[in-house]
Formats: sequence, structure tokens, C-alpha cells
Amino acid sequence: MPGQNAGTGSEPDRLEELRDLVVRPERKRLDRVEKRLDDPAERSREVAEVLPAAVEESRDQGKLDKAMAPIVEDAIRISVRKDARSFAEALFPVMGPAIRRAIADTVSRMVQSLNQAVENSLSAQGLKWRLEAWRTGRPFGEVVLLHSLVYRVEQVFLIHRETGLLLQHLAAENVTGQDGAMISGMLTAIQDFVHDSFGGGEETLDSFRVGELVVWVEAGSTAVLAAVIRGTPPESLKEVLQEALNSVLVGHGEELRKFDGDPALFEAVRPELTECLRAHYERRKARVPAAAWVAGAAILLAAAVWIFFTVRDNQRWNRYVDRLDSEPGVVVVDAGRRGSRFRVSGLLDPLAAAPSELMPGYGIRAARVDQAWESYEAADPEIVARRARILLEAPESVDFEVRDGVLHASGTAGHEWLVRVTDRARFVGGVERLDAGRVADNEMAALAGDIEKQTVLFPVGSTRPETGWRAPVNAVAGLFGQLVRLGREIGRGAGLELVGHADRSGEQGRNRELSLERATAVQERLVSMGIDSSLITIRGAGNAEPLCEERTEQDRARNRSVTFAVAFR
Amino acid sequence: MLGAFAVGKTSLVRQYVDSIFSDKYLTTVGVKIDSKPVKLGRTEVNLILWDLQGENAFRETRLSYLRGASGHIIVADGTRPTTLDAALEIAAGVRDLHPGVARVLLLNKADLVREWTVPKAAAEDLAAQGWNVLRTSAKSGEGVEQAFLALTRMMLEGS
Repeated sequence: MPGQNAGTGSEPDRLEELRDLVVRPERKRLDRVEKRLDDPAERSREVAEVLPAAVEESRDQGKLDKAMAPIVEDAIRISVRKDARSFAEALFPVMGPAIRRAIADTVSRMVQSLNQAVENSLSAQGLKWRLEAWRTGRPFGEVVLLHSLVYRVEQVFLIHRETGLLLQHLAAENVTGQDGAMISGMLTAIQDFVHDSFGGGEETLDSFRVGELVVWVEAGSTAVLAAVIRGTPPESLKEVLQEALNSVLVGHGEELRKFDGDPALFEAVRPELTECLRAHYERRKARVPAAAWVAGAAILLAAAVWIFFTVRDNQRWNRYVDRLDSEPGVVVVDAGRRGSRFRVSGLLDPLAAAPSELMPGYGIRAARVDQAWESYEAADPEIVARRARILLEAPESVDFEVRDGVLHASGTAGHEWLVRVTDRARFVGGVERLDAGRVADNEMAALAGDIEKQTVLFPVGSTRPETGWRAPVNAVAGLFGQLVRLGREIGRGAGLELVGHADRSGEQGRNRELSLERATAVQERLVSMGIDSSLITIRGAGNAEPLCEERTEQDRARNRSVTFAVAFR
Repeated sequence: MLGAFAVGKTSLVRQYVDSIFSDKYLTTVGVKIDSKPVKLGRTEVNLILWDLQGENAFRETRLSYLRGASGHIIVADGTRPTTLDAALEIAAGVRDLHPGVARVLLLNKADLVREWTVPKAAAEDLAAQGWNVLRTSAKSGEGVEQAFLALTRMMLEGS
């Protein structure tokens, strides 16, 4: 305190002085201690010195852990918030592979992926090709070329993430690599651009396509692996790239962190990266599965069967139609097939056979056929004959045949019918003229039969008949008269033939004369009874036509006779 | 390469890498990358040049491009003083994020020195502050090679 008396002064001043004197040494020490306490740098230095030991001490007591726990948690949280990347970087080498592996396991367990099939076939494929090469005598390379390429990793870039500098660049055979440094730089720039533009987080560009090439980018915490692939790579290739990147990250983590621009350190990773230069070829042969063969065969079979049945049906139908058309009274105008049904139409005479009746014979079901007939009057001879039969009410015993419009009748019929038919025949459609000449008139035939039963007997060598000749001659006259009358009704003439006979005795020539004279004798008597002489003819048969064998006298007597025969014209 | 619009960043790169200069001004969009091998003494390096889009102020959006860079070239146009202010502002912002990175400041368009409005004193002041300031002309080529070599030397010494 300058400018103040030392001796004089107030009480407080002197107390002060005293105090000062007493505590001066201590004061220095106090000052020093104060300084230490006030100076934060000093204080922290001292605490830092004792802190490790203090922590060790408190660890035994166990309270420090509890006290530190929330602090550590908060510290981690703050660190993550401030810069998540560095935190992740620290954990990445451990967590990264574990996470990837877990995911990969799950996926491969859940799904039977095509990738596995591709992977498996890759090794078998090589063997097959070698076999083919050996078998065909072609060089293996040629066989490989024969197969088409599925995918091929052409280039691989290992890039330092932080700087975008190129660490390693590999190219497959026959691939012209570009300036790797430029590419890695641009890739990194693109990644940054994408990251900046499309919202932060850890999202990065992981693939892009350029024509036939696709670039896959696998990003790790400190390094990035980019693969240029030609073709269509399978998903499993991603795993390969990830594995390779991972092994680089783990195996060269320190070098990556301290990278100063010298890529020589990373020569060692070339073998791992070469692993990524994979390729897969596949013969582009469409394999037809067995099911397709079976289906194809079944279809072919079905088609063949269908064709067979259709052709058979058509053949049958055509044969049927031909047959039908040739049937008298049927004129087929149109016949064909519409879908599964048949169709036939034309003209049908009511007297013709029903078309349906012919069908079974050709294996055709009437239900499948649509028929459309118009009736007409056929001029077919058969139909005309049938028509005649019906219209003329012909008996069963008469047969008809039509030729050139002429109705020829034959058989036998009653006289009455014969009388009627001559008039009616003209009105039958298709008949110009009736020829009934060959239909035997039953009544007339009966009369003729009766006439021919008669005989006139003669004694030996005589031309005058035995007594009792009147009966037969009368009979003949009467019968023949009737016959002629009946014949006139139907326009048929009748003639009577008298045949004289002689027995065997006597001379041949004489017997002939004798028989003729006998026939003449009977003729004279018939004429006298009114029979028209122009209708009678006589003949002497001698003993050439005996009535019976001559064994007895009676036989001989019988042979000396005149017999009658009727002839119709 | 950092700096304001049309200060000559791309032209400097073109001059250095391809030895060509074109009067036509095409603004760089995003970033363009070039590479140039350099031999310094017995050391051979490959410079990967990131030519960034020009910006009149420091913007945070383009930061990722700067990540990992070993050196910065900050360019200003001698005929436009505002570009120098912009250059310094960018440099300051960048330094905060990436301290300790080698850098040079280029006053470009030296061929138009007669039209320069940036006072000479400014360059000297900056040099005094520790900046490595160089005068360049992308058109004539003056100082271009030296600038890149200087930065390369700084980067090699620093590593």
C-alpha cells in the first residue's frame, strides 16, 4: 500500500498488516493453489493424471460402470448423429459380412433360385462341351464358340470410395479397357451426384445399363467395386462381387483408410478380383419338355383319329349317296356334309325305296341325316312296274316288266282281270302299251286242260272211231267253243290240234297214213258240230307218240286214238 | 477446380490437359473429370482433375465432390473482382470441412491484364496471408503448367 504511514494508521490497517505478515508464506501457497483451481487447463491436466487410476479404483466398486453406461449411450448417440458414417465404418467390417450372410442364407433357403441351377450347370456344361469336342473332333474353343453367351464380366474396377481414385483395374481377355482412372473418377462423381440429388441416407447407384453392357456397383464403406458385364447376369453374380469386395475391405482395411494415392499396395487383390471375371455360355437350344411331347403326341393321335373317322364317314356317305342315286325312283340333287350332320335332297317317287332304309347298309345313322325330298313320278321301269301293279290291282301271280314304255306282263291271272287290264293299262304313267300275251288265262288254261284230256279211240286198222266217240267229241266242241269265246274277249286266239296215233303193230308208213286219216275223221265230225275249220289243224303221228307203253291189249287200244292239243296265239 | 462462373476453370484444364483453348463458353454442368500424368523429379503421379460447376457462393450441395480431394485449385477472374470475393468465400467454407488440404489460388485471364480490375495489392495481401497465389492465362498458357505443378508439389510434400 504505497503512500501510507507504516506506524500510524487505524486499527484495521494494522490488523491487515499483521495478517499479511503472519500468513505471507501460506499466502503464496494459497495463491498457487487458487491458481491451480482456477485454471481449467491446470485442473484438467491434473485430473487427467489421476483419472486412469481413479477409474481403475472405481471399477472394483462397480459404481462407475453404472454411472458411465448412460453417458456412453449418449455419447454413441451423439457420435452417430454427428457423423453416422464414421461409426458405421468402424462397425462395418464386422456387421457388414454378417448381415449379408444372414440375408443370403434366408433367401437361398426360401427360394429355389434359377441362379443355383445356372451355377450347377456351369460345371457340368464344361464337361459336356469337352465331351462334344472330343466326340466331334473339333477343338474345344470352337465348341465353346458354338454356344451362345449368356453373360460375361468384362471389366472390374476397384475404387477408393473417398477420393474416387482407381485402386485396381482388371479386364477379361480380348476386352479393350478404357482409361480406368477416368472411369473410376466419373463413377464416383456419379455416385456423389446421385447421392446429393436423390436424398441422402446410404442410397447409392447400384446398377446401370448401357446397350449390351450393364455396370453393377457394389459399395462398401471404404471401397467400391464396379463390374462391367456383357449380357444378362444372374443374381448370384452379385454375391460373388460382394464376397470379393468384402475380402478386400477386411483384408486391406488399414491400407484403404490410409490410402495416399499409391495403388501399388493393392496389387495383392488382383487374384480376388480375377474371381469376378466370370462368364457363362449356354447352347440356345429350346428344350422341349416331356410333357410337351406327350401333349403333342396326344393331339396328333386325336387329330389322326378324327381324320380317320371323318374320312370314313365321308367315304361311307359318298357310297351311300351313289347307291341312293342309282336306286330307281330317287334322284339325288344335292348331298353333302354340314358339320357333323349329313344332308341329302332331291326327288323321290313315293313308290321308291325309302332312303332311310338304305342307310344302315352303309353304316349311316338316319338321325344324322337331314333329308329334303320332293315327290315326283319316276319313269324308271321298276317304278313303272310297281305303279302298274298297284294301279292295275294285279294279282301276285302276275309279274311285270317294263321295257321301253311297254309293260310286259307274265305269269297267270284270272280271265276277268285280263279282260279289265287291257283298258286300264294305258292310264298308268310311263306305260305306252300293255303286252299281256304271256299271262296265262286261268280259265282258258283250265278249258284247254279239259280238252286235252279227251281221246277218241279207234279199232285196229280202222279210220272210223269206236262207238262212244260222241261224248269226247261233243265235249271238245263245247269246251273249245268256250275257249274261243273267252279268247276273243282278251284278244287271244286259240287253235286246236288233232293228233292221230296208231299202235305199234303194222308197218310204219301205213300207220302214219292211218293216224292222219283218223285225225281227219275227227276233224270232220268237229266241223259238223260248228267248230271253225280254220282253227283246226291235223297231224298224223303214226306210232311215234304213243300214249302209253304197249304191254297189254288195252294199252294198244289206247294208242289207237286221236288226241287234242290246244295252242294259243 | 473451384470458383465462380466463367472464371476459366474448364479452360485451364483444357489448356493443361489438351493444350487447347476455345473462346466458346460452355458452362460446366455438375462435374467433369480429366486425368493427366505428371512427372515431378523422379515421382510419377496421375492427376485426376475434377472440374466443378461454377458457383458464386459457397454452397453445401456440392460437397460430396470435394470429399477425398488431395488438393484444391481456386480460380478467380482478374477482370472481375467479385469473383475474387467469391473465391475466398468458397475457400473459407471448404477449409472448414477439409482443413489442411493443399490449395492454390489462381488469378486467371492474365492475357487481359490490362483490363484487370483486381488491384495488385490484393494479390500481395493474400500471399502474405499464406496463400499461394499464381497468375495464369488459359488462353496463352502463361503460368498454367506451373500452377498445376506447384499444387502437385504441395500435395506430394504434404502426404
